[in-house]
Amino acid sequence: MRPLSSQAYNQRRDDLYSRLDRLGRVLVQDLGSNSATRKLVVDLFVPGQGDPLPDEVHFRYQEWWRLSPLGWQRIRYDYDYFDLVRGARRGYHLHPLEGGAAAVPHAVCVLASGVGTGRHYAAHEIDLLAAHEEFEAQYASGRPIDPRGLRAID
Amino acid sequence: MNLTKSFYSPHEVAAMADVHPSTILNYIASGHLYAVKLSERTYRIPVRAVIGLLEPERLSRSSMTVQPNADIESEVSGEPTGQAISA
Repeated sequence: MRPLSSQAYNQRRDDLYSRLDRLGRVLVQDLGSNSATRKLVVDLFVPGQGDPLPDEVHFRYQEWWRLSPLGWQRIRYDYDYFDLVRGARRGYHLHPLEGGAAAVPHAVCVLASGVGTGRHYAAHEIDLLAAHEEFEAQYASGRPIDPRGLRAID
Repeated sequence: MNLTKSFYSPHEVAAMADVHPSTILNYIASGHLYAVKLSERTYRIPVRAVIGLLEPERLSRSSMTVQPNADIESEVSGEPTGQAISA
Protein backbone atom coordinates (compact mmCIF):
# COMPACT_ATOMS: atom_id res chain seq x y z
CA MET A 1 0.00 0.00 0.00
CA ARG A 2 1.45 3.35 -0.99
CA PRO A 3 2.23 5.96 1.68
CA LEU A 4 -0.44 8.55 2.39
CA SER A 5 -0.17 12.24 3.11
CA SER A 6 -1.86 13.38 6.32
CA GLN A 7 -4.72 14.75 4.27
CA ALA A 8 -5.12 11.50 2.33
CA TYR A 9 -4.94 9.52 5.57
CA ASN A 10 -7.74 11.58 7.09
CA GLN A 11 -9.81 11.33 3.93
CA ARG A 12 -9.45 7.55 3.89
CA ARG A 13 -10.40 7.38 7.58
CA ASP A 14 -13.50 9.49 7.00
CA ASP A 15 -14.47 7.48 3.92
CA LEU A 16 -14.15 4.24 5.88
CA TYR A 17 -16.34 5.64 8.63
CA SER A 18 -19.05 6.62 6.16
CA ARG A 19 -18.81 3.35 4.26
CA LEU A 20 -18.99 1.12 7.35
CA ASP A 21 -21.70 3.17 9.06
CA ARG A 22 -24.11 1.91 6.41
CA LEU A 23 -23.79 -1.66 7.68
CA GLY A 24 -23.73 -1.24 11.44
CA ARG A 25 -22.69 0.90 14.38
CA VAL A 26 -19.09 1.91 13.89
CA LEU A 27 -16.60 3.26 16.40
CA VAL A 28 -13.45 4.77 14.92
CA GLN A 29 -10.39 5.77 16.92
CA ASP A 30 -7.56 7.69 15.29
CA LEU A 31 -4.69 7.64 17.76
CA GLY A 32 -1.29 9.34 17.80
CA SER A 33 -1.37 11.56 14.74
CA ASN A 34 1.00 14.02 16.45
CA SER A 35 3.71 11.40 16.79
CA ALA A 36 5.72 9.27 14.37
CA THR A 37 3.44 6.29 14.84
CA ARG A 38 -0.31 6.36 14.67
CA LYS A 39 -3.00 3.75 14.90
CA LEU A 40 -6.44 3.43 13.38
CA VAL A 41 -8.93 1.26 15.23
CA VAL A 42 -12.30 0.49 13.70
CA ASP A 43 -14.94 -1.50 15.55
CA LEU A 44 -18.06 -2.31 13.57
CA PHE A 45 -20.95 -4.04 15.28
CA VAL A 46 -23.74 -5.48 13.15
CA PRO A 47 -26.65 -4.91 13.26
CA GLY A 48 -25.49 -2.55 16.02
CA GLN A 49 -29.03 -1.52 16.89
CA GLY A 50 -29.32 -3.12 20.32
CA ASP A 51 -32.48 -4.72 21.63
CA PRO A 52 -34.33 -6.55 20.07
CA LEU A 53 -31.62 -7.18 17.48
CA PRO A 54 -28.53 -8.56 19.23
CA ASP A 55 -25.21 -8.08 17.47
CA GLU A 56 -24.27 -11.00 15.27
CA VAL A 57 -20.92 -9.83 14.03
CA HIS A 58 -18.02 -7.72 15.22
CA PHE A 59 -15.56 -6.52 12.61
CA ARG A 60 -12.37 -5.22 14.24
CA TYR A 61 -9.84 -3.52 12.04
CA GLN A 62 -6.58 -2.18 13.43
CA GLU A 63 -3.78 -0.53 11.50
CA TRP A 64 -0.44 0.83 12.65
CA TRP A 65 1.18 3.52 10.54
CA ARG A 66 4.63 5.10 10.71
CA LEU A 67 5.63 8.49 9.38
CA SER A 68 8.27 8.26 6.64
CA PRO A 69 9.73 10.85 4.25
CA LEU A 70 7.07 9.74 1.76
CA GLY A 71 4.19 10.08 4.19
CA TRP A 72 2.28 7.69 6.42
CA GLN A 73 3.29 4.10 5.76
CA ARG A 74 1.18 1.19 6.97
CA ILE A 75 3.49 -1.14 8.89
CA ARG A 76 1.10 -3.56 10.54
CA TYR A 77 -2.55 -4.55 10.50
CA ASP A 78 -5.04 -6.91 12.09
CA TYR A 79 -8.32 -7.21 10.18
CA ASP A 80 -10.66 -9.54 12.03
CA TYR A 81 -14.19 -10.79 11.51
CA PHE A 82 -15.76 -12.29 14.63
CA ASP A 83 -18.92 -14.34 14.14
CA LEU A 84 -20.55 -13.78 17.52
CA VAL A 85 -23.32 -16.30 16.88
CA ARG A 86 -21.15 -19.25 15.93
CA GLY A 87 -18.09 -18.18 17.88
CA ALA A 88 -15.70 -18.24 14.93
CA ARG A 89 -13.06 -15.82 13.73
CA ARG A 90 -11.52 -15.05 10.35
CA GLY A 91 -8.77 -12.52 9.76
CA TYR A 92 -6.01 -11.05 7.69
CA HIS A 93 -2.93 -9.88 9.55
CA LEU A 94 0.42 -8.28 8.80
CA HIS A 95 3.01 -8.64 11.56
CA PRO A 96 6.10 -10.70 12.38
CA LEU A 97 5.41 -14.32 13.21
CA GLU A 98 7.00 -16.21 16.06
CA GLY A 99 10.78 -16.25 15.61
CA GLY A 100 10.76 -14.02 12.55
CA ALA A 101 11.87 -10.46 11.98
CA ALA A 102 9.92 -9.26 9.00
CA ALA A 103 6.20 -8.63 8.95
CA VAL A 104 4.43 -11.46 7.15
CA PRO A 105 0.98 -11.08 5.63
CA HIS A 106 -1.14 -14.08 6.59
CA ALA A 107 -4.68 -15.22 7.25
CA VAL A 108 -6.15 -16.69 10.41
CA CYS A 109 -9.23 -18.84 10.81
CA VAL A 110 -10.40 -20.15 14.16
CA LEU A 111 -13.58 -22.19 14.48
CA ALA A 112 -15.79 -22.44 17.55
CA SER A 113 -14.30 -25.85 18.27
CA GLY A 114 -10.88 -24.26 18.61
CA VAL A 115 -9.65 -25.73 15.34
CA GLY A 116 -7.20 -23.32 13.75
CA THR A 117 -5.99 -21.75 17.00
CA GLY A 118 -2.41 -20.58 16.54
CA ARG A 119 -2.37 -21.51 12.86
CA HIS A 120 -1.36 -19.12 10.11
CA TYR A 121 -2.39 -19.38 6.49
CA ALA A 122 -0.88 -17.94 3.34
CA ALA A 123 -2.26 -14.60 2.22
CA HIS A 124 -1.21 -11.58 0.22
CA GLU A 125 -1.10 -8.08 1.65
CA ILE A 126 -4.58 -6.63 1.54
CA ASP A 127 -6.35 -3.32 2.05
CA LEU A 128 -8.84 -2.84 4.85
CA LEU A 129 -11.77 -2.29 2.53
CA ALA A 130 -10.95 -5.34 0.41
CA ALA A 131 -10.83 -7.48 3.55
CA HIS A 132 -14.09 -5.97 4.77
CA GLU A 133 -15.89 -6.59 1.50
CA GLU A 134 -14.89 -10.24 1.63
CA PHE A 135 -16.02 -10.59 5.25
CA GLU A 136 -19.21 -8.66 4.64
CA ALA A 137 -20.17 -10.83 1.65
CA GLN A 138 -19.54 -13.97 3.67
CA TYR A 139 -21.66 -12.68 6.53
CA ALA A 140 -24.51 -11.54 4.26
CA SER A 141 -24.56 -14.87 2.46
CA GLY A 142 -25.04 -16.73 5.74
CA ARG A 143 -22.09 -19.01 5.04
CA PRO A 144 -20.22 -19.99 8.20
CA ILE A 145 -16.53 -19.24 8.57
CA ASP A 146 -14.39 -22.17 7.47
CA PRO A 147 -10.77 -22.71 6.46
CA ARG A 148 -11.51 -24.13 3.00
CA GLY A 149 -9.11 -22.77 0.41
CA LEU A 150 -6.57 -21.67 3.00
CA ARG A 151 -3.03 -23.09 2.93
CA ALA A 152 -1.22 -23.39 6.27
CA ILE A 153 2.24 -21.83 6.40
CA ASP A 154 3.33 -23.19 9.81
CA MET B 1 -42.09 -1.49 12.21
CA ASN B 2 -40.90 -4.79 13.63
CA LEU B 3 -37.56 -5.73 12.10
CA THR B 4 -36.32 -9.11 13.23
CA LYS B 5 -33.81 -10.06 10.55
CA SER B 6 -30.32 -8.81 9.81
CA PHE B 7 -30.83 -8.62 6.04
CA TYR B 8 -33.80 -8.06 3.75
CA SER B 9 -34.39 -8.60 0.05
CA PRO B 10 -35.33 -5.65 -2.18
CA HIS B 11 -38.86 -7.10 -2.48
CA GLU B 12 -39.25 -7.21 1.29
CA VAL B 13 -38.10 -3.61 1.67
CA ALA B 14 -40.38 -2.54 -1.16
CA ALA B 15 -43.34 -4.09 0.65
CA MET B 16 -42.43 -2.31 3.90
CA ALA B 17 -41.95 1.02 2.14
CA ASP B 18 -45.06 0.51 0.02
CA VAL B 19 -43.22 1.16 -3.23
CA HIS B 20 -42.51 -0.92 -6.31
CA PRO B 21 -39.45 -3.20 -6.06
CA SER B 22 -37.86 -1.38 -9.00
CA THR B 23 -37.85 1.75 -6.87
CA ILE B 24 -35.75 -0.03 -4.25
CA LEU B 25 -33.40 -1.33 -6.95
CA ASN B 26 -33.07 2.22 -8.26
CA TYR B 27 -32.25 3.42 -4.74
CA ILE B 28 -29.52 0.77 -4.55
CA ALA B 29 -28.14 1.63 -7.98
CA SER B 30 -28.00 5.32 -7.15
CA GLY B 31 -26.35 4.73 -3.78
CA HIS B 32 -29.34 6.09 -1.87
CA LEU B 33 -29.83 2.70 -0.20
CA TYR B 34 -26.96 0.45 0.83
CA ALA B 35 -27.04 -3.22 -0.13
CA VAL B 36 -24.55 -6.06 -0.17
CA LYS B 37 -24.24 -7.55 -3.64
CA LEU B 38 -24.14 -11.34 -3.40
CA SER B 39 -24.26 -11.98 -7.13
CA GLU B 40 -25.11 -10.16 -10.32
CA ARG B 41 -28.80 -10.05 -9.47
CA THR B 42 -28.93 -10.73 -5.76
CA TYR B 43 -28.80 -8.01 -3.14
CA ARG B 44 -29.21 -8.14 0.60
CA ILE B 45 -30.10 -4.95 2.40
CA PRO B 46 -28.80 -4.73 5.99
CA VAL B 47 -31.36 -3.90 8.63
CA ARG B 48 -29.48 -0.72 9.45
CA ALA B 49 -30.03 0.53 5.92
CA VAL B 50 -33.72 -0.39 6.15
CA ILE B 51 -34.06 1.58 9.39
CA GLY B 52 -32.16 4.47 7.83
CA LEU B 53 -34.63 4.49 4.97
CA LEU B 54 -37.86 4.09 6.90
CA GLU B 55 -37.17 5.32 10.44
CA PRO B 56 -33.86 7.20 10.46
CA GLU B 57 -34.52 8.62 13.93
CA ARG B 58 -34.15 5.06 15.31
CA LEU B 59 -30.62 4.60 14.06
CA SER B 60 -27.98 3.97 16.70
CA ARG B 61 -25.19 6.51 16.50
CA SER B 62 -21.71 5.72 15.32
CA SER B 63 -18.77 7.72 16.60
CA MET B 64 -15.25 8.81 15.77
CA THR B 65 -12.58 9.71 18.30
CA VAL B 66 -9.36 11.50 17.41
CA GLN B 67 -6.56 11.51 20.02
CA PRO B 68 -3.52 13.13 18.38
CA ASN B 69 -1.32 12.75 21.47
CA ALA B 70 -2.01 9.09 22.20
CA ASP B 71 1.17 7.04 22.63
CA ILE B 72 1.23 4.24 20.09
CA GLU B 73 5.00 3.93 19.81
CA SER B 74 5.21 1.40 22.62
CA GLU B 75 2.97 -0.99 20.68
CA VAL B 76 5.40 -1.24 17.78
CA SER B 77 8.67 -0.34 19.45
CA GLY B 78 11.56 -2.48 18.36
CA GLU B 79 10.27 -3.21 14.88
CA PRO B 80 11.54 -4.88 12.89
CA THR B 81 13.28 -6.93 15.55
CA GLY B 82 11.38 -10.17 15.42
CA GLN B 83 8.91 -9.20 18.09
CA ALA B 84 6.00 -11.54 17.65
CA ILE B 85 2.48 -10.76 18.66
CA SER B 86 -0.38 -13.14 19.10
CA ALA B 87 -2.17 -14.21 15.97
